[in-house]
Amino acid sequence: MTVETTDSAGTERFGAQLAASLQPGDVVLLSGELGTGKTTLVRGAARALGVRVPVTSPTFAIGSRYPVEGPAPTGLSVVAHLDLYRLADLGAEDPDLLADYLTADAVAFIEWPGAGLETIARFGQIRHHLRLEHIDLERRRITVDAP
Amino acid sequence: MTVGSATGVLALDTSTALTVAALWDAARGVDAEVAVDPPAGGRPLHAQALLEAAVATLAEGGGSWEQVGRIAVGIGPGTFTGLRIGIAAAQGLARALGRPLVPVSSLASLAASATAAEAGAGRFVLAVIDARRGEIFVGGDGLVPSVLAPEDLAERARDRLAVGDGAVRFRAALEAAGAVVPADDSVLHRVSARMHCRLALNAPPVAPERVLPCYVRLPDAEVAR
Amino acid sequence: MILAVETSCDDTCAAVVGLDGVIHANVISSQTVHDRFGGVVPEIASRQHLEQITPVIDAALTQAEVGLDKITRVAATRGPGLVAALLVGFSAAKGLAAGRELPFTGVDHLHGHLAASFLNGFDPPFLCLIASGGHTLLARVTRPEGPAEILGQTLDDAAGEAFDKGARLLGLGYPGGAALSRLAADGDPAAFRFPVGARMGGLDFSFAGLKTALLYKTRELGAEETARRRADLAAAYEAAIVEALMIRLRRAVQTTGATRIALGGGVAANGPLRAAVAALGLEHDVPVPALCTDNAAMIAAAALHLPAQPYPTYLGLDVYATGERPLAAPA
Repeated sequence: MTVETTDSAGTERFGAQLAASLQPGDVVLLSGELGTGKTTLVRGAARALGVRVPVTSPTFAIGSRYPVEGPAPTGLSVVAHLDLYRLADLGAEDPDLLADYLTADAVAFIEWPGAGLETIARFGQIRHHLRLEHIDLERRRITVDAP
Repeated sequence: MTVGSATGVLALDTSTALTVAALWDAARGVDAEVAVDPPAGGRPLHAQALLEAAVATLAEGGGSWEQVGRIAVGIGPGTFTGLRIGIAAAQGLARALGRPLVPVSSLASLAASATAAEAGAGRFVLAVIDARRGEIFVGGDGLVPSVLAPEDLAERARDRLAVGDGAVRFRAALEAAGAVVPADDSVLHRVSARMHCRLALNAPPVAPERVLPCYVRLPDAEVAR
Repeated sequence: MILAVETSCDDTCAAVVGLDGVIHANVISSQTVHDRFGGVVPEIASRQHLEQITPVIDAALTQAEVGLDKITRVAATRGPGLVAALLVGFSAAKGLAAGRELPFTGVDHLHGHLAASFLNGFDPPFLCLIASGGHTLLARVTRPEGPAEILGQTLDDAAGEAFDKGARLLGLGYPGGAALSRLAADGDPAAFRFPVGARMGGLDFSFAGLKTALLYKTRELGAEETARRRADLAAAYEAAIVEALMIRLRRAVQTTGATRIALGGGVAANGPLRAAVAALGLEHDVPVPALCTDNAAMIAAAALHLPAQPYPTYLGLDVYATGERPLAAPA
């Protein structure tokens, strides 16, 4: 499936729609170059899943865990958001790095999953792989692949 | 050898999911160990429980740090973050108390416990720590610590007594390779800080900042350098 | 005296500060190993922290010319930051405090940045703008013990991250923020116009659109022209980041009636930002660079105003990564 969004608000709305299909333990992967709206999409999804605090770039700390405060699917208490850009290979990392984020009570969004797919699959159910592309300054093309 | 009149050895280990501390002072008849398991299905409690466990062992000998003549710490191999919690805390304690710090191989300690228990009917021991990602750290009698998939053990496991959390987790593969694995609830599978104390008593201390984890697995970035 | 430790990212830091706020030592061991990976790699940072933590603590004591017997309190950063990195400094500090049965204080990293100005004798109340690689926020600091009132924060990227990602787009490598600023000094900030989010009301920050605008400008110019006009691009991009920060700072001054301003975080070392803050004509404090970037003296400064937990009540404390705790609240 491919959709086009006309601005960042549209990308956020698409994230919110996507959230409806997610359950605790699910993982969503996001690929796309700088500025394609990966964090924007995650923000929309996190809002729809009941996160109330600001959803910001996870780049600095590798990952964030946001508490779910609003109405949410049963069993969901956390939305996790990771950026693995700097971890070209998870083989160099502590295998427990992901365990702190990919928990059974969390929906996790992972930007730049890169070479970590196999490790990620060990911790959660990869539900979607999204690819975001620039069309122009405002518009984005989002392709949703089944994993 | 210990410092002054303090004859106790305090040992810490955070190489596996178990958080464990022990105080052993043969001269004063003190042999205490406090171990904390993670909650069911939960993450290890090293950061919260390690120093509390250490302080709890002191109580048996009167409660004071004065009785600690040297400190031992398990350097794994094991989970990286867990090992660093234990080693950083041990460096801090050694610095604070002005006592020598001794690194202990967690694999060697596991093997020594099994040997001491005479549970293997004379078999050599294979110490196995879960390395995650489907791999194990192995060591023990005559083996250099290494990381591998359980399926690749081949002859290394034959007729050995396999102990450790990795032996429990990969029981089938180990038994297929010819190893004997004690029952899942056997104490032999748990790292013993008591054994660390004994191994450290006469081992040479190392400058605190040079006591570092036995990673075995180098980050790929380092390998490529 | 208080001994403080900070290892939230890629600097291994220890400081000795008197209970009167005088800095006796402020040791920072920076890791450069990450540059070739395009960012701080947690596992590598954590390994280096463990190799450095005891030597850095010893160096701080040596510089301060004191023994551990003169230390009466210990403090360490609890978060936010890289968990594996935080755990090294926090565990070592707890072990050090425990062995001497000293009181201990766990400090929020952002509270530390707010407190850096205390070391200059610049006391609350003031408005504080913290801008670094991991954080961007505006806070009203009314009491030294906190918690600070968060007036605004970034909704996407941090200001320092905007510098670094902009540098990446201009081919300046990592960490490119400082290189981008150096290049900008030779450029014309008016040569290009980048969005500063002026239409976005309130006191929150957003840098994602700016980053995207730079990407499109470089595409429009093409590789050759981008290379030729790199200094102008850098200058205009830097000016936009500074203006985006200043718009919110001016608004905050207006809405709160504040007359005193402090800057903190690595971006506070930025020349144009310092100049813009000075131009406001208000009483202000910009700590020296060694107190703006990550350091342990600021952690000691915050701890001096926070309750110290007596031995052994703190032994069970853990660190935290982010997003799970009220910002800058006492630990």
